[in-house]
Parts: sequence; structure tokens; C-alpha cells
Amino acid sequence: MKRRTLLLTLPLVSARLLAGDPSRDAGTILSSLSGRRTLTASFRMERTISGLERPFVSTGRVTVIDGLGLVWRTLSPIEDVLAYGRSKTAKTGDDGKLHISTSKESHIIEEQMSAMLSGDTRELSERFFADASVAADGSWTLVLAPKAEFLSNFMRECQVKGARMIDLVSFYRPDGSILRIGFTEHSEDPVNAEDRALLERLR
Amino acid sequence: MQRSRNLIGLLSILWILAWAAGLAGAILAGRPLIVSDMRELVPENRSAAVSSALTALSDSASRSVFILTTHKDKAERARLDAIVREGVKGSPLVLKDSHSLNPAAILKDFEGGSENFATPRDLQWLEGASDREILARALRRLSRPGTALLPLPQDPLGLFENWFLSHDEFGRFGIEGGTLTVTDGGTVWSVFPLENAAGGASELKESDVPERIGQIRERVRAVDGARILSGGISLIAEDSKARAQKEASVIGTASLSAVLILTWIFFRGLRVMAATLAALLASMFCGAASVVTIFGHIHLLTLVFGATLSGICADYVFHWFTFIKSGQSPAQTEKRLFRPLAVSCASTVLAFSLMALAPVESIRQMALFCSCGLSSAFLFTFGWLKFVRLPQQALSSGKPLFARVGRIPPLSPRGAAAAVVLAAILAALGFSRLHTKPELGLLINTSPALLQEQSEIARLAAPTTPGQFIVLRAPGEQALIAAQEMLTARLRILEDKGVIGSFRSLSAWVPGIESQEKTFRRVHEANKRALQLLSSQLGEAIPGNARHSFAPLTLSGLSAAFRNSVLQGTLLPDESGAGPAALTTFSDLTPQAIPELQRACGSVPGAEFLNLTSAISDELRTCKEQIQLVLAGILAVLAGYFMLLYRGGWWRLWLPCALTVAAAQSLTLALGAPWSLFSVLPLVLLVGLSVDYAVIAESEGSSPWVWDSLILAGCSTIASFGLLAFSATPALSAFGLTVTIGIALAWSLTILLRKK
Repeated sequence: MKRRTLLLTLPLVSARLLAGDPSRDAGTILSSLSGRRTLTASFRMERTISGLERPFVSTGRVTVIDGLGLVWRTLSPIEDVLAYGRSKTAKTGDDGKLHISTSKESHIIEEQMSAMLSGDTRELSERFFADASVAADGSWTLVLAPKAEFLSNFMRECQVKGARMIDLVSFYRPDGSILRIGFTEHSEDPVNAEDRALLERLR
Repeated sequence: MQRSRNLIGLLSILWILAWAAGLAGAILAGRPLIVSDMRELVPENRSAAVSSALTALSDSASRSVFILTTHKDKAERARLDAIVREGVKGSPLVLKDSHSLNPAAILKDFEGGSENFATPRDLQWLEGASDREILARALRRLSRPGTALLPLPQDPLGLFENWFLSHDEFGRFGIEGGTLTVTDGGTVWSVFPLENAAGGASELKESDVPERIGQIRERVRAVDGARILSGGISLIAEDSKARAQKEASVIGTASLSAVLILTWIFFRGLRVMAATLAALLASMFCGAASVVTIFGHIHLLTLVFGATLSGICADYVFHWFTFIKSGQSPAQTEKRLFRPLAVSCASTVLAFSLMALAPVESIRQMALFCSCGLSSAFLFTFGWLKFVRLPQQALSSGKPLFARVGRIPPLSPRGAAAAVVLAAILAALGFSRLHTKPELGLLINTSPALLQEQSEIARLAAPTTPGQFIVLRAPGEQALIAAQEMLTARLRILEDKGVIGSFRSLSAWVPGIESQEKTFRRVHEANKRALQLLSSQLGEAIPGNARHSFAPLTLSGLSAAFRNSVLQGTLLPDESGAGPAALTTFSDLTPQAIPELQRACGSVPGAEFLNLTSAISDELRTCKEQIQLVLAGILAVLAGYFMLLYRGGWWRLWLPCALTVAAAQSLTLALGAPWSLFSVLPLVLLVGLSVDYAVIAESEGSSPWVWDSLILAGCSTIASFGLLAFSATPALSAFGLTVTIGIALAWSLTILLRKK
């Protein structure tokens, strides 16, 4: 459960970057992830599958609302909703309908997400060794390697690239498969009304 | 006469030395002398089913302590975590490692047979899933931004992953900032599972655990909006112990003060007090040493009961000094008191000896303790009290205080018959109100708030109940797995009905072979179809799962890592060579669930419900019933003994004793106390006391001083044990109430039934 949580929330890190400051290291990048945020972004996720030449691609929209939670809405190749509210979770079930349940997972997600958005480096630094490099144009790459054997069995490394916002997150699995999530069309306002209504139901 | 007196003194020294030698031998043997574990009361034939592994598990569960803290703000939660960690540092509370279970490590055990497993819900879905639904599920799985436990070809629909993660080991708890968490609705609780190194419920050493917990609670509560729960069997035991000690301290002080005042009133000095104390010490030492010498150890229950013996031992001293106070010389006193006290002592020892016939060891220990202890008091009284001189003011204090009692006319034989009828009516009235309670429950005096917290912790953290298990034995591994699955199905029904809380069993991880094969057929077909449909969707063939045939997951095929982590506590080593055994453990069991569990076990061959708590309670109940029977035997033997010694007047000595036992018990029951070991044990003491009173009254009834002697003896016993009636611990209260009522009855009946 926690593994899923982590992988889901890392791509959502949105940072107000200190452009043009070449002295920034992982700590300063992490600490710059401050202030609770509300945002919407489009995503394109590529998942490599062992034995297949082409990756599996899905696209959709992600919404984070400060104090309410997160909605991961896949639009293609299938419509799917995954939402974590303050005390409930919503998922598209096998019958294609949205199912709401009380789950601790939602809370952990919300906690981790708010930790990242508010620059709570404790949570991240407890789980990952972090390293960073900053280019002259202000773009940066953050490399996170799991500390615990528990996590390293499922994720060898995570790379987060960004400039003003996070643009690309890549997860490298020990079996060689890669999960890449690119974010575009970041917007802090207006937040999708449908997603907000859903998160309100999951309070 | 002088020679015989010296002989008694010498005999008392040899007597003490003999038992001291026995005790020294036991000490040198290095054995534990005092056993406080209540499980020692369980007879060997019953405890045979309780293997050492089960005992260890029970011990471990009873040592578990849980602290849970919460705050709606995460930063504050981290602060509370630090308070708890800091608070337990350097204390006997050791934080258990909660991160040792690595899913990736145990996943390897399932790699070959991942298609043998699915949740009941997924199996139901597979029954009617169309191609469109299968493809949709596979696509959703790939579209969600997590990573799978197994590569796509092995688990395209996530059926195995759902099953794997549905287990409590992964599903119940989370981790936040390195601390175990459990979420209840929207509340995140930090969970601190600790082991109390000071001991469990049965063997609890002195420690600062309650103080530490108290300090932690205080610090956590100082944080605005914070909540804390703390509980565990050892904490409940500690609380009961602390309350009992506090009560004992208050009651003990009151008791000691009362005895001191009485002694002062009667003897105007503390020499009698010192002599009484010496007599008590001698009798307690000889009683305990004799039990250790013969049995190798002494149970705490024997020691506690043996302490009541002091009520009779002190009486011998008081009788002696009352006669000295009346102006008799030590020689005269000895001459007058030797026969009645010898008769009293012999009859009481005879009565206690009957308890030695009981099959329960603790009762036999009590018989030996009391017989030796009382003999020591007798020897001490006649061997050494002659050397103690009363202060002059005591000797010259004049007349006896209770001489008027002698003017109360004794009952005629008709009146005595009426007393018997009245006692019979009282007995009928009392027994009509008879009710019982589990004996162990009567020993517990815990605050309702602590029990409420314990119940809340059981719901949130599901700790293992240390007293109840189901042990399942089968001739072979496959039979064991099949029987466990049958049992688990019955337990699931009880769980769904809310009769029991959560439980852990082998079947959760290793279902029956038939069940695995049935699942494999459904899951394998569904996975194959899912990969075909996905391949069509992606326009590229996905390589299928290499395994096509069913291979069961068996116990012997599991790695040691899996057995030692996930299956720990659900598999018992084959200690007796009777075949493998599985263990089902529970959390938060209510008394109402016990018969249901027994019924569930009854329908599964090889299943046995072990209720350690109930076994101890049963044994204490058996103790009670046997003592009750022995009491009847004691009264019959005393009747014969008194007939032999006192011929036609035997009934004047016997009736006070018999009526005291009958009426004290019935009055105690009529006052609402349950019929328990703790209201039956004092009856044995009352037999001894009433015999003592009756024999003294019979032989010295003409002396006005005899009533002082008897009243002083009775008052001191009430002060010693009767005050326990005010205890909040039901067991102590029942004991005190019975003693108080009994002594009042013994006095009255001795006076009313004495000879004219």
C-alpha cells in the first residue's frame, strides 16, 4: 500500500524553484517544495513492459486540492478514476462504476503529498537518499534512492526533473522496467469542478 | 513436669532446625522457591496439551504493551512519537521491531504458485467476467501509477496482488516517519508495540513501568488536541497489583493499629506484641519451609492462605498471657492450658490433614503449611512464652474486662436444637441466593477506564489474546492444511457475525490443496485470456506465464524466512511426535465467544480449544469444591474426636464449629458475595478458630478470664483479616466478610452452647 502511495505521489511534486541559483543541492530543492498547493496538470504515462517493444501509454489529468486530496483521472486508453480524499478512497471498480470506501491508504497518500508540497523533508529524507544536479538554465534533476530494502525491491531509483514545475518523473524497477510520467499544462486555477466535487465527497 | 517443659522447648528448637535444614537444601538446589504463575495450578494432564511453544507465545502476548497516540496534525504526531520513544528509554519497556517483514523477501515463496491464490471477492468476479471486463481490468491496472508486485505476465489482473495485500501483515498497518500507524476512519494512530521485560500477567517483577507510562501520558496530554491509549495484560496486572498493594497498605495499617491498641488495652505493654510476632514468624517459617522441603516449592496462593494461620497462632499466645494476667504463674498457666490447647491444636491439625487427601497440589500444600505452622505455634507457646514476663501494670490492672459475658445463660438442649434449625433456615436462605463468578475475575480490581482503553487498543491494534488458542493436530501436512481450512471457514462465519474479532491462522497464507487447485484453474484461465486481450489491444504479443500446470504451495515448500516471519505463531513445532500442529490466535475475545469457539472446534477433527484462563479458573473452582467436601469430612472427624474426648458433652464443642461453618457461608452468600474459593477458604480457618474457642470455653469456662482471652483472640483475628471486607478486590472482600461473620458466630455460639 505504501509503495503505491509513494510512487503515486512523487510525480505530483510541484516546486517553486529558485531559478538561476546554481548552488542548490537536493536539500535546498526539497526544502523549496514549500507551501500547500492546489493544481491541475495533464499527464502522459509510459510503462515499459518486459518483452514488448513499445511502452504502454496512458494519458489523463491529475488534480491536487490543498486540504482535500488528489484525483488521478485516466482518460485513455480507458476511463479510470483513482481518488484519495481526507478519509475515503474512490476507485473505478470492475463494473466501471466509482466505488467509495474508507481506507487508510487515502490518508497516507494525503499525508505524504502534503509533506512534499509543504516541503516536509523529514518524510522524504527518511525514505530516500537524495541527490541533485542543477543546470545553468535553472532546470534540475533530483535523484531519489530508497533507503529501505522494502522499497528497493520495487524501485531501484526515482528521477525527478523540472524547472519551474516538475516536468518528468521516472521510476526504474529492479527488473529493468521503467515508468515515466510527464506533466504538462500545469495550472493552479481553476481546478476542475468535477474533481473538486469528488474530493468533497471523500472528506 | 519441669523436664517435660524443657523437652518442649528443645523440641521446638529441633522442629525449627529440621525445617530450616530442609529449606536450606532447597535453596542450595537453586530452584525457584516461590511460584506465582497461576498456570502452575493447572494439573499436568490438562497442561499436556499446552506445549512449550504455546506457553512461550502466551507469555509473549501477556508481556505485550501497546501505546497509541494521535493528533490531527502530522507535525504534532511526530512530536508525540518522540515523547513516547523518549519516555520508554531506559525502562523495561522495549520497543518491538515493527519493520522486519519484507514483502519482497516472502514474495519469492509464491513466485511459482501465484495463480493458486485470489480473494473470495475476485473469485466471485471471475465467475461472470466477460472479455470486455477482463480487458478493462487489465488496462486499469496498467494505467494506474503504481508498480505491481509481480511482472505483468504473471499477474495481469492483479488477482495475486489483491490477495497478498489483503493480509493483516500488510493491510492493517502503515508507516509514518518510521513509526507504525493504524488508521481508524480519518484518525491516524501511531502504534508502539512494546515488550514489558518486567514480566507478563503471571510473573510481574517490581518495575517503574506504571510510573513511566504515567509520565508519558501526562506529557502527551499536555499537547493540545493529543490523545493517548495505553494497555496490555501486564499493565492490567500491574494496576490490579498496585491497587491491591495500596489497599493492603491502608488496611494493614488499620489492622496493625487495631491489634496494637487491643494489646495495649489488655496487656499494657508491647512485650506480648513482640512474643506474638515471634510466634507468628516461627509458625510461618516452619509452614513455608515444610512445604518447600516436601514439594520443592511453594505456590503464592498457599503462602497467602497460610498467612491466615496467624489468626489461630496468635490466639495461643493471647490465651497464655490472659491467664498470666489473671495472676497465674507460668507453671500454673501451662498446667491449665496445655490440655485444652493440645486438644485444640490436635483437632485443628487433624482437620487440616484431611486437606492433604485432595488431588490438587495447592490444597495439599495448604494442609502441610497449616499443620506444621500450627504445631510450631503450639511448641513455641509452651516452650518459650514462660520466659516472657508481663509488665507490672498489666498484672495489677485488676478484673477481667468481659467477665459479664459469663453471666449470659447458656442454651438448653432444646435451645441448641432451635439454633440448629435457625442455622438450617439461614443456610437455605443463603444458598437460595447462591451465585458464582470465575475465581480469576475476583482477583482483578482494575479501573474501568483502563479496561475501556484495552478494548479500544484491541480494536485498533489487534494484539494476540494470551489465554485462548485453538490447537489443531493432524496426521500429516496436507491433512493439517485441509483441517485448518475447514476450521477457518467456521471462524470466518463467527467473525462476520461479530461473535469474534480478528484471528490469525495458517489458512490465511496456506489454503488447502484442493482450494489452491480450484483457484488455480480459474485464475490461470483468466490470466491467459487477459494477456491475449491485452496483446490484441496493444498490437504486440505479450509473452505468457511460463507455468501451465498446478503446483501446490505446501508447508514443507515454504522458506524458513517465511515460516519464521509470517507463519510465526500459527505453526507449532512437533514436540510430542504426534504430528504437525497449527495454532489459531485471537484478539479481543469476549466471554460470549468462548462457547461458539468450542462448538466450532467440536466439528473439526483434531481441533482443540485451549482456554488457559478458564483452565486456571476451573482449577480454582475445583479447589473450592474439594475444600467444601473436605470441610464436611473435617466436621465428621471432629464429631468423632470430640465424642471420644468429651463423651456426652461432645455436641457443645462440635455444634459451634459446625454451625459457624454453615451459617457463616450462608450469611456471606445472603449478603451478595459470590460462592467462590475466597469465601470457602476462610471456613477452614474458622473451623480451627471455633474449635479453639469451644475447647478453651469447655475446659476453662468457670474462669472469668476466659472471655477476655476469647474476645481478645477474636478481635485480633477480625483486625487482621476481617478488615479485608472493606477491600475493593472482590476476592479479599469475600475473605474478610466471611471471617468477620464467622468469628461473630463462633463467639456467640461458644458462649450460648457452653456447659452450665
